[in-house]
Amino acid sequence: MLHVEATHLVKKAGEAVLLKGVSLRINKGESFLLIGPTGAGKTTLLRLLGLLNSSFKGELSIFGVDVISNQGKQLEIRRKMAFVQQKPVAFSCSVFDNVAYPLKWRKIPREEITDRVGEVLDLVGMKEYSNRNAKTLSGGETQRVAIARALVTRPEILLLDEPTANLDPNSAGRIEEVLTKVVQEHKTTLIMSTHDLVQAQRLAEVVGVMIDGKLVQTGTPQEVFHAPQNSQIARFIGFKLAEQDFNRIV
Amino acid sequence: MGELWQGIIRALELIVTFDPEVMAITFRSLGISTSACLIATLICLPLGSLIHFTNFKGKNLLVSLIQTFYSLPTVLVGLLVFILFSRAGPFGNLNLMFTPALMIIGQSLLVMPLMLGLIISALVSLDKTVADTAFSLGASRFQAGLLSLKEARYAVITSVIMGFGRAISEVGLAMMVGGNIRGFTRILTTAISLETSKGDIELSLALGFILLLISLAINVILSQLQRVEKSAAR
Repeated sequence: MLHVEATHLVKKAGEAVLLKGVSLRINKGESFLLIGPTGAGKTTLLRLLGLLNSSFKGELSIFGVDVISNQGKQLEIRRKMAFVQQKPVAFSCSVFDNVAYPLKWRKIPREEITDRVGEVLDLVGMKEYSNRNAKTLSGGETQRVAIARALVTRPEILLLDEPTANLDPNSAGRIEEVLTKVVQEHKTTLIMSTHDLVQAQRLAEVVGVMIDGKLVQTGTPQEVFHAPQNSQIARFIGFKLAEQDFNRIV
Repeated sequence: MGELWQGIIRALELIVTFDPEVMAITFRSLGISTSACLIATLICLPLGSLIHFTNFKGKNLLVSLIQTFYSLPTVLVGLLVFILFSRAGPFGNLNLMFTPALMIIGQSLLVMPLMLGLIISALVSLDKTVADTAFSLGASRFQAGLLSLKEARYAVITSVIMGFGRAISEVGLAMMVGGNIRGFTRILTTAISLETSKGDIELSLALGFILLLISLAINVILSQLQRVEKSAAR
């Protein structure tokens, strides 16, 4: 079953063209990882797929619903998705209340909220921080709360914009484990951008390479990393992997 | 100088002995201005959120216009309210002229641009990620607006207090639509104006001190709020 179908998406910001005709298809339960250099348009694409921006050209269907002609259904669609932004923000309340917010918005009974929030905080290793003011957390802890806040809604599509960028290797590893578990257990569709190509190989069923506002190649990690379609992609992958190897050695 | 000194002593006497007239005028002032602020807040909170979260043509012009009205002369609002509510005006049949109710309406209109503009500014200065996060987690526009107002609460409260400060210190509008009727529509500012013209400096000074104390209290609350806001941001 097709969860996301985008055809020729074009997004402009003033004179700049951020997305230059991006088309993609993502199936239910698929892990689709976006890679590409900074400024390639990964965040812009994720924001469009997360329905955070409606001023674009092209066609976009989510869960088989054309989101342009069905503006009235956008809230219903958004409630089946969750998006963790690159620099997540903590609301000015406790960690528990932060994670409980999306459930309150959905009018879930209080007892169920308590159970689900506890369960998901345990999953991301933040249960002991439950009563702490979320504004006092470190960047990595805030990121984990943001992921918990997204997972608590049990989304059918989970969008993540470089979710492990602010985390130390241990926390990043834990988040990867959580994501893998959620995708396997709940058949969640995962759409995620990352700078970490090794992570992309570990998590992705399908990898999409974005360069200069275009989705230049999509395929399995094997196809993308071993048979890049052009020299631009090869250069990016080669340079990035060499950089990561260098960082690992240093 | 002697007269001023005598005036100050008499004024303090009137305050510490809880002079019935001084107290009545003070509580009437507080009642009218608080009611006006409450009405303005109830209108400005949803209206400010609506303007902030909706993209429409002329939005920047509207916000500029609202900001222009920050320093709207009180007598001009008084004149407008007078025309609307005088016997020959469109709302003349309501018989509200020279009543505290009309003073509340007038003061609400007076403080609304200031309150609205400051609420919009508070929402603009709030990290855009807050509203985006709310939307991305399934909040409706109303729920995202409510969360944003909660996140910007210190700035929002500041705007309400600023509005109250403007309402309690205005004189032109209260004089025009309230009529400064003793025991009915006489408030701190109109009483000071009248008593000074009559030469009752003691009473004027006493009322002036009270007005000053209210301003001081407003300032203390504002600076406390700013301190709390700064420590919350840390």
